[in-house]
Amino acid sequence: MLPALRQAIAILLLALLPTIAAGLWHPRRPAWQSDEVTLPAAAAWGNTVLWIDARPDPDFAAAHIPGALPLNEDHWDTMLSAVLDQWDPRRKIVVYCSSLSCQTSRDVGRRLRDEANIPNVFVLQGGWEAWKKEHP
Amino acid sequence: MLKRLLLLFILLAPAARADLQWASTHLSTTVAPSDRLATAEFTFTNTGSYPVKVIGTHTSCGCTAAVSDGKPVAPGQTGKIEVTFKTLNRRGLYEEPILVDTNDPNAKETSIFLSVLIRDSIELLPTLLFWQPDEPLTAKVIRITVTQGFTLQSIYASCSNLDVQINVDPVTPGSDYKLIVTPHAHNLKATISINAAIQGKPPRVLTAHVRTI
Repeated sequence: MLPALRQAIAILLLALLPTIAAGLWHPRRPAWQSDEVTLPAAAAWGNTVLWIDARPDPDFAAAHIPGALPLNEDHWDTMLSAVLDQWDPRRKIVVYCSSLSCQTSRDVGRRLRDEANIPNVFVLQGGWEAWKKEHP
Repeated sequence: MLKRLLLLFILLAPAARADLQWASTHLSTTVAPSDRLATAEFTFTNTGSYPVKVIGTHTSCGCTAAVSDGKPVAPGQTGKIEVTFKTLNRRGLYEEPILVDTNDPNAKETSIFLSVLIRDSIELLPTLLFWQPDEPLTAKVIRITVTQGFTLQSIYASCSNLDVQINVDPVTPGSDYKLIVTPHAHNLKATISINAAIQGKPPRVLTAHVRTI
């Protein structure tokens, strides 16, 4: 029994080595800390949240989360100025786009973090579809 | 008889299959925002035994388009998916997944990826300087760098608020500068305009932002 257990542990440890290597050095490794936030968690932050709508202009004009500001990359410079007017370092930014599969909110979040150096930038899981589901 | 038919079915079933061999499912390109579009062509070969047709493509952003001619690709022939990505006003690295749907029951969906690195001829980092509520209002720096292959001929910076002192310090004239920013008041919002003339390019105005609490 004991040798079998030893062998099982050895196999597990051997399997762990490539996993750790991939986690550290793989070019497409997942982030250690996710920047995504669920709707209930973001809603719990209350008025400290600055909602950012990364969808195209017509979608924002049709409907958006109350108080959200538009920021899409088609008009980045002009829209960023308006966002920064409402932002201060004590606020959390939550970016959303259309749905779970859309990438735009992640790109907008990355630019706010990397270019503007803004901390506390999150991406809403499920995006606008998740909000609409909770607020039909 | 039934056994023979079953045996024949088992033997023929794996033979009559389609198989798509992609030249690459990941392509990378580096472009400038002024290029407006990044393009890539993903090619595949039908190594199976019956024609395959691309019946649809799905992208994760309105900035990406993926098209196929929709014609069936005969065994041994190659097909392609042309992908375009809008680069205007975008910066940094974009990883765009594209889902390709085919009528091949063995590979109905294939994910392909286009990585686009968008590098401007001149870049500011960071584009926002802010001071926390209890933070002393000491100088901070915005780095201005010119991409290799370009030369900055002149640079001039101005600020919308007189309570913000700015100074352009050349680290390597023509390619690397420090914009030193010192605010002298709390609760201010200011915009810095940086006028840059790069050899062989139209004059540019870049914007940075300053916030104190």
